[in-house]
Amino acid sequence: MSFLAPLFLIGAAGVAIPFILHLIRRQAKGQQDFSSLLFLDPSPPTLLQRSRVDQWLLLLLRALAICLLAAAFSRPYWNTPAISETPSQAIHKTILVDTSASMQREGLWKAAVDAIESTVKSARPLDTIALYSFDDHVQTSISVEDSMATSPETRSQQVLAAAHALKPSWRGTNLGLALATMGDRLVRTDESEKDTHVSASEIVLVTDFQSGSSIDKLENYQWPSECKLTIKRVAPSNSENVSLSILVSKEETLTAVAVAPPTLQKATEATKAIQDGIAVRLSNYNNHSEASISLQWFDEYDKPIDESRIEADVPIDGNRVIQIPKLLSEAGRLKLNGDMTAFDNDRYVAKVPKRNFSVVCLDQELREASESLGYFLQKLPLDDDTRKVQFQWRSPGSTDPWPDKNLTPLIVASHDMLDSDVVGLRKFIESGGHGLWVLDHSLEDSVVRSSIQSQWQALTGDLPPDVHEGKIGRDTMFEEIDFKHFLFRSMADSKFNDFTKIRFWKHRCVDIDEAPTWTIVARFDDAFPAIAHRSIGEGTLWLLTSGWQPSESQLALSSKFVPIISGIFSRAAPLERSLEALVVGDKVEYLDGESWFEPSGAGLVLEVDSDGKKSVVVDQLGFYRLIRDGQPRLVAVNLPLAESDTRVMDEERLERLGVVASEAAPTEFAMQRSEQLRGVELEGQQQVWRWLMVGMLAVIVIETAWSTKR
Amino acid sequence: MKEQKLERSAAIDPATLMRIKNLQLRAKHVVDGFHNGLHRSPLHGFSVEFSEYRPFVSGDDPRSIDWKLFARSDRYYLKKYEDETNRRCHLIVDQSRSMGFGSLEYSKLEYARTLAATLAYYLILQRDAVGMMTFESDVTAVVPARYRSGQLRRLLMLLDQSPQGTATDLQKPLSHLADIVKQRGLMLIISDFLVPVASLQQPLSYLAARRHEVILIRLLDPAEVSLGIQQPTVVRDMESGREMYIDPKTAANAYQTKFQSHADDLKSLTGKLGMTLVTMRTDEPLELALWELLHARERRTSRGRANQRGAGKVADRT
Repeated sequence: MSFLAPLFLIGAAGVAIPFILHLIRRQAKGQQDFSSLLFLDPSPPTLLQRSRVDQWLLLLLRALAICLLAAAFSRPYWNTPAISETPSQAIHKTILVDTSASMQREGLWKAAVDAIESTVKSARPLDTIALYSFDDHVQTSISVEDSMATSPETRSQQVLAAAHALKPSWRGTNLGLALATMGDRLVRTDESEKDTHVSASEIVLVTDFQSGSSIDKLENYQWPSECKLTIKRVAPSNSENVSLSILVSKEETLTAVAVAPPTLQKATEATKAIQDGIAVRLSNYNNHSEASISLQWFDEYDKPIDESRIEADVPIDGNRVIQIPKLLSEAGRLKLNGDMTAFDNDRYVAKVPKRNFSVVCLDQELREASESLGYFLQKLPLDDDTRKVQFQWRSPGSTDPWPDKNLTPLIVASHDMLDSDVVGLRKFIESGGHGLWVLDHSLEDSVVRSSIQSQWQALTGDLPPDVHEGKIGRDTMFEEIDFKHFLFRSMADSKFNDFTKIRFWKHRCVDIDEAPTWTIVARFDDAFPAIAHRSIGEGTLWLLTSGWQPSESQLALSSKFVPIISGIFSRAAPLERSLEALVVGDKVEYLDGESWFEPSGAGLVLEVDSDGKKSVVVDQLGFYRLIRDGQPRLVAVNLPLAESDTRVMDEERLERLGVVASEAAPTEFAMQRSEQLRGVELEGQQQVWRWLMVGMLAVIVIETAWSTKR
Repeated sequence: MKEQKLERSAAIDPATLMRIKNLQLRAKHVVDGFHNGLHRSPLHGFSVEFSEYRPFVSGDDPRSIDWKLFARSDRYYLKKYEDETNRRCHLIVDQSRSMGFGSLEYSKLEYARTLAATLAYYLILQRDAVGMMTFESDVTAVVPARYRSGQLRRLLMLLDQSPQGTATDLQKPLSHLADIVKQRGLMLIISDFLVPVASLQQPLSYLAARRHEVILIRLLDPAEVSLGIQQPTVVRDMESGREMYIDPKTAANAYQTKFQSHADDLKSLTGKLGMTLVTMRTDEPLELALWELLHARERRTSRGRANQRGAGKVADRT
């Protein structure tokens, strides 16, 4: 029997009271008036001289009444065993431990291993215990099937050994993927083992439960109702953290500045920062105090660059964007000092070598500037941080080999092509190159028209459309532009979408409206196409029905000329795999002939997927060395930015996504509370105190009757 | 002095007497019974000192005729006794709360009222001027001593008044009495005297100094005399309200000792002051008080005769 309020049993000590009173001479019954107390002295109560109990039955009745009263107040109940404690019922217990980079923090991994040990110890003999780890993907240490195949006596040891063999990685945290994967696996296990005496599945999640964990995967996931999740959160000794990220673009800097406190930074300063140096964003995940930090560059040989040291204060639970000196060497490490949480205090930067391209203009070089396509084309600034573009002339009828599309992604041709040029151009386009055919000559002459039509047929393989010179009063302009097309998307804003200032004196009318293979991007105000494109083989043929030189239009002299031609060129230039902004865990396309080495110097293992695509996985922090065509270069691999957000996630977020929390109390306090509530419920059902009170009243009635009779 | 024994068989039971509602009727019963007792006794009459003869007139009691003098003088003469001279009598009645105690069917107060009425009735019959004073902690009412028609009625009306009943304080009333009564007279103080004896010394001394004849009639309930508490109980003082747990088995002896000591002290004090202390229990017949009154007069008369002898004067009896 148990008691809700056992302290009341102390009241049973009051049974001594009737005993003592029984030995004491009876107390005065009532009160009596007397004329005067002049001759009276008070008589103290005294024990009976012989100090023995005369009325045993009365004494026992009174003592029994007190005992029954004390027992009733203590609210006793019979502790019946809970149904869920039936020993024959076992559960699938799956331990899912977080091995992401944030678990590298001091003390966390040890706490995680301790949590695994306590989970294993609390398992019942028939429970199956599986162990999985996760960061940005799930890894199996001991599967549920493995555990079921193991004898119950050795399961715990097996799990503990596997847990000690685990180590945290440098990857990000995809908690949603991990939970969804576990949920699916447990559902499959439950369905396949319906004949076993397994009552439920439980996932024990051992994690730091940081806000930087991705849980997007759970948004459209139906959590299995039979799976219960228990979260065992481990906390570091120091929860403060400042994260560092390098802003690589002006837009990113402006966005970051918009988030930063306006008293610290202005947009103009940010613009200056991106022009003169590098902007970095500092985030203080500490809601107690401001962070005072410093930044310093280390070169590719890990030597500090003293003059690069910058100090800054980051506000409480806030961000700050500051400018730091540019890195002059090819690669370097930006180190954050003053932050006690060190796992994310380094950012690696490796400059990407520029690729060399060329753009070829198939035209007469000696033409007048006002008449020459190439004159204005060669002045186009097609270079950027990733490429260097040279301009080359190719004379019509040249027998030089046609350039490689990988090095010359775009060939611009006027309509002064010879037949051999047309053939060569078609082959170039079919192989994957891009050709821009500019119809920059008048088609008044029927011979010229016929020539154009024959070139059309040779180039496209289609019957030539009707072509003629456009009839323009004074001038024409772009009227209908598809701003959703990639070519004009960047100019869709109202500040940039005014094309009325670009006048065309001449243009050619090409009737391709009915041709489904052509995509018309812009039209003149007479509705005839101005810019269009179509695919030929693996490449693209662009068509411009007017020249950009001054004799044809104002296009070359307008501000729209550069983005239009640059857009066509960028689409033409082959996309190389991006080796910038790599984070730990990324899979990088492997190109034949190259070699990859880890930061430690060990070679990377090549992975080949089912489609035959080759790749390497970068799962270390720091500089990887890539040797390609005999040329070495450093590739920077950084920590995923979200991993630095070490603030603790609200558990309700999982509940809102439908994850069912376990009923088992994770803490001793919760277990005690559960026991208490169960006790209250049992006592409320049994209500033994009522019977005790009835018994007490009956005893009192008997005692009263007996003492009166006596 | 001759002592006359009261025939108990002739005394009226106080409990029976108290059933008579009318106070005057009670008093008359007692006095009549007392007189009957006197007649049946071979030694009837007052044992008072003979002072002189007076001629018999119509209406006098023929039993008082001195037949020897008739044989000698052939005329009817009555012996005039000393107590037939006009005297002022003051009845002082204690009406404090302690007098409200009673273990019988009636309280001490009821007995005191009846006794006072009886004494008043008797003294008025003796043609004495009777006055009355009631007191508690202080004097509550005073009726001056007079012998006139309606005096008895006034005295009985005073006794009929319901007392408030507070604490007992004899000092103030007796001091007040000593101040207002200049002429020497008879003081009959009816109380339980449940106060420290030392507090009575001064007021009684005042009265003695005024040469009053003081008779203290102490009324006690039987339960007060023998501690009539049967079992342990909380006893509450009727005057002070103080409570006390009393176990009669352990408290009886001490009570008796203290009670007797108080009585002895009171007797000693009154003896020193030449006063008469009469202790009566409320279960005793009221006639005893009348007998005590007679005996007191006898004692006074013998003292007076002794004084006269000392002076050499002899009264002319013929």
